[in-house]
Amino acid sequence: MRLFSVRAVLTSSLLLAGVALAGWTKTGDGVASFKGVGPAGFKIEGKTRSVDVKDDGKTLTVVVGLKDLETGIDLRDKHMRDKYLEVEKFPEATLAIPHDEIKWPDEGKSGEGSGKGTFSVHGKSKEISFKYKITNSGGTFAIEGEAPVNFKEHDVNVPSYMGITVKPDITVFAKFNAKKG
Amino acid sequence: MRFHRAIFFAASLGAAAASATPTFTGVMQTELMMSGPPPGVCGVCHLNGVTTTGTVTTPFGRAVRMNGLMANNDASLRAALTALTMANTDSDGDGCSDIAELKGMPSPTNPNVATDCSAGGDGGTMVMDGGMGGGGAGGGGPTIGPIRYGCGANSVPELMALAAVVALALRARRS
Amino acid sequence: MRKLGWLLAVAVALGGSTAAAFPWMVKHDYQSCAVCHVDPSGAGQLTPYGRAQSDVLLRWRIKKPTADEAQEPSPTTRFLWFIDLPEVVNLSGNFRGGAMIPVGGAPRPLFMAADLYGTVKVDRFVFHASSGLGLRNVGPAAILPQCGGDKPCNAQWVAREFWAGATFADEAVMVRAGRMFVPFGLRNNEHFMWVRDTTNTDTNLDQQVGVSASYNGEKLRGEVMGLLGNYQLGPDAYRERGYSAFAEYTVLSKLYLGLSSLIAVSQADLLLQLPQVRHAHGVTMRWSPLEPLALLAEVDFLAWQQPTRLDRLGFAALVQADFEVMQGLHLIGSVEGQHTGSQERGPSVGGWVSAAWYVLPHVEVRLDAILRRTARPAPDPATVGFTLLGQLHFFL
Repeated sequence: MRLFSVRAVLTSSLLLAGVALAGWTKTGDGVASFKGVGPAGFKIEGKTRSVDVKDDGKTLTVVVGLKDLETGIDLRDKHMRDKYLEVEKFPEATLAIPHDEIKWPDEGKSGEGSGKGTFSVHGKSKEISFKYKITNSGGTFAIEGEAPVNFKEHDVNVPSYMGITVKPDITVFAKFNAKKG
Repeated sequence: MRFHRAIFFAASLGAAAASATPTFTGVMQTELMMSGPPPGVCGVCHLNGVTTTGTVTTPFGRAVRMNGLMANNDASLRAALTALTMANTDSDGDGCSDIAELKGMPSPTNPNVATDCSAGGDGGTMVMDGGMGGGGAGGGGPTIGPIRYGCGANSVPELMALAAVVALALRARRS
Repeated sequence: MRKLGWLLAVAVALGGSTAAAFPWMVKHDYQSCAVCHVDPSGAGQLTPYGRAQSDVLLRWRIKKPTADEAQEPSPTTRFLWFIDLPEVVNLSGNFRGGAMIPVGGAPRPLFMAADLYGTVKVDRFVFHASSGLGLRNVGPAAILPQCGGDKPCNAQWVAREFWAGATFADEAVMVRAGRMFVPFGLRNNEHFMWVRDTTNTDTNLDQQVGVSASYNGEKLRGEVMGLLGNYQLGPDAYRERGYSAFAEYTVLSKLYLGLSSLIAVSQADLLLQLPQVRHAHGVTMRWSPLEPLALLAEVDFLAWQQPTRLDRLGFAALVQADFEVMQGLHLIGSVEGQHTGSQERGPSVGGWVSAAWYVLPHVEVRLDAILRRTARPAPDPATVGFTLLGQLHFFL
C-alpha cells in the first residue's frame, strides 16, 4: 500500500482561484483529492478536508494539508504519509496561482477556464496546467479545479506494493468556496 | 447440470423414504413426460401398493431409495430419476432400463416386472456410449449412454488433436 | 420437514465452496477483482497483493487500527503461513469442512474441499492450475478414477481449473484458454444460491473449457468466454457449448451495474436426453452506500428450449446485504427467488442469515441459517426446509 500513496501529490491539486484581487479567503468546508490507477483495473482515491487559501495580493495559493489524507485503507494511508509523501517533513501540498490566471465570473454567473500555476509537494515545485470552474453566488465563489500531476517529478517514490505499482501520472482535485475579504 | 447436481446431492443422502407421498406419481409423469400414472401407480414403489412405512421395497422402489429418494420431497425424486437415467438402471433385469420402461410409448411397462420390452415401444433401451441418440423420450432411437466423469471415460478428440498439433510444432521447432 | 432440511443441508454442504470470492469488496472501492485474484474476474486463488489484503482488510480485529497503528500484513499470510516464494510462483491451498446441523438432529461432519492452487507468472504470461481431492459428488471436476453411472464420484482426484493466459495493456486485458470459471453474474461465495445454481455458473463444479478475453479498466470490467464444453465428462452429447459474458460499469463511486448473458447448447440434457438450448441473461448491481455496508443484487431471465417440449421460462434473483459489524465479522442477509418453468405454482423463495468471521490469518468460520420455500409443480404444495450450516475454512 505504500504505493498507493500516490498521494500526496495529488493532493495538491488545487485550484485556483484566480483572483485578481487581494484578500481572498476560504469559506466553509473544502475538499481536496487525488485519483491514481495501476495495473489490472487497480485504482486509488485519496481525500482530505484540510484545504485552505492564502492570498498575498499577487498570488492565490491553495494549501492542502497532507497529514489527514485518507484512501480508505489505514495501512495504505500510513504508507502514503510516512513512506512516500513524508508528511512530517513536507506536511503540505500547494498550488500557487498568479491572479491573472483566473477569470472571476460576475454575480450570479459561472465561468470555466484553464491556467498555469506552481505545484509543490514533497519539497519539489513544478509548473502545471489546471482547469477550473467558478460560480459566483452573492460574492461567494464556489471553486473547483483539477490538474494532472506526475509524482516522479516531485521526487516521490513510485508506490509499489506486492506486485501492484501505481502509475506516476495522477489527477488532483480541489473544491472549496472563497470570498474576497 | 442442475439435475446432475441434484443427483449428487441425492445420491449422498442416507435417509430413506418410508411413507407414501401422493405427489410422487405426478412428479414422475411430469419429469418423464408420461401420458398417465406409472404402471401400478403407488405400487411401482410400494409393495402391493400398500403405502405405509417400510413398504418401499419393490425393485424399482429400492432403486429410487438407493438414489436418494426422501418422503415428501419431490426434488429428491427428480434427482433419483435422473440418477437412474444416468445409470441405465434395470431393476427387473429384463434388458430394458427402468426409465425407458416408464417412458415407453404408447404404453409404459412396469420396471418391476420383466417383460419383452422390445415389443412394447420402449423409447430406446439400447445404450450407445458416446453416441448421440435420437430417442430418449420415446423416439425409438438409441439413447445416449450414461454420463461419465474423469479422464479415460471420455473421448476428447479436440484436445487430442490440439495436443498432436502442439507436439508436432515442438518437434519441428527442435529440428 | 426435518428430512427436507437434511436434504438441503446435504446439498449445501456437498456442493462445497472451493473458491472464495467477495463481491462486497466494493466497500473498499475495489471494483476490479484482478488485483486480488489470479482469475481476472475474481474467485479462486489470491495474488500476493490479495493475500496481503485478506490480512489487512478481512481479518478480524477487535478494534480497527488507525493509520498510525496500522501494521504490515502478518508474515503468516505467506504460503503455509511462513514460506516465502519466488516472485514468479504463487502457491496456495483451500480446505473447507464443517457440520450440517439439522434442527432437532445431530450435527454431521462434512468434508467439502481440499484443493491446491499453483500459478506461474513470467512476464506477461500466466499459467494456473488447481488440483485436489474431492469427496462426494465431484464428478464434473474429476480426473481419476473414472466415475458416473454406477460408480459414485465420492473420492476423486479433481482439477477444477487449468489455463494459460497472457496479459496486455498493463494487465488490463487478459486472454486465456483452458478450464476456467464461467463469467456470469455476481461471483458470490455462496455458490449454491439459486442465481448460481440455475445458471450453472458457480465456482465449485461449473468450470468449462474455453477461450476468454477479459478487461479490467478504470470504470469498466468484463469478460467474454467461448464455451467449448466440460471435457471431464462424457459422452460428448452432454457437453454444453456456446458463450458466456458479463460486463460491469462504474456508475457512481462504489455503485456498479452489470449485464450478463449466456447461451449454451448441448445435444442432450441429463434427464430426458433431449437436445437443449439454455439461456441465462441478467443484470447485477453492487453498491456500497456506507463504508461497512455492501448491497448486491442479481436478476436473471432463464429459458430452456428443447424439441418436443414447450420452452421453459424462469428466473433467478438474489438481493444480499453484507454488513461488517467490525473488521473481520460480517453479518449477511440474503433473499433469493427462482422459478424454473417446470409448472411450479409460483416462485421458490429463500432467506439466508449468515455470519462470516475471519478469525485468524487463513481461517474463516461461517454459519448460515437457510430457510427455503421450494415451489413444486401444480397441484403440489410448496415445501419448506430449514438448515443450519457451520463451516471452517482454511486457506494456505
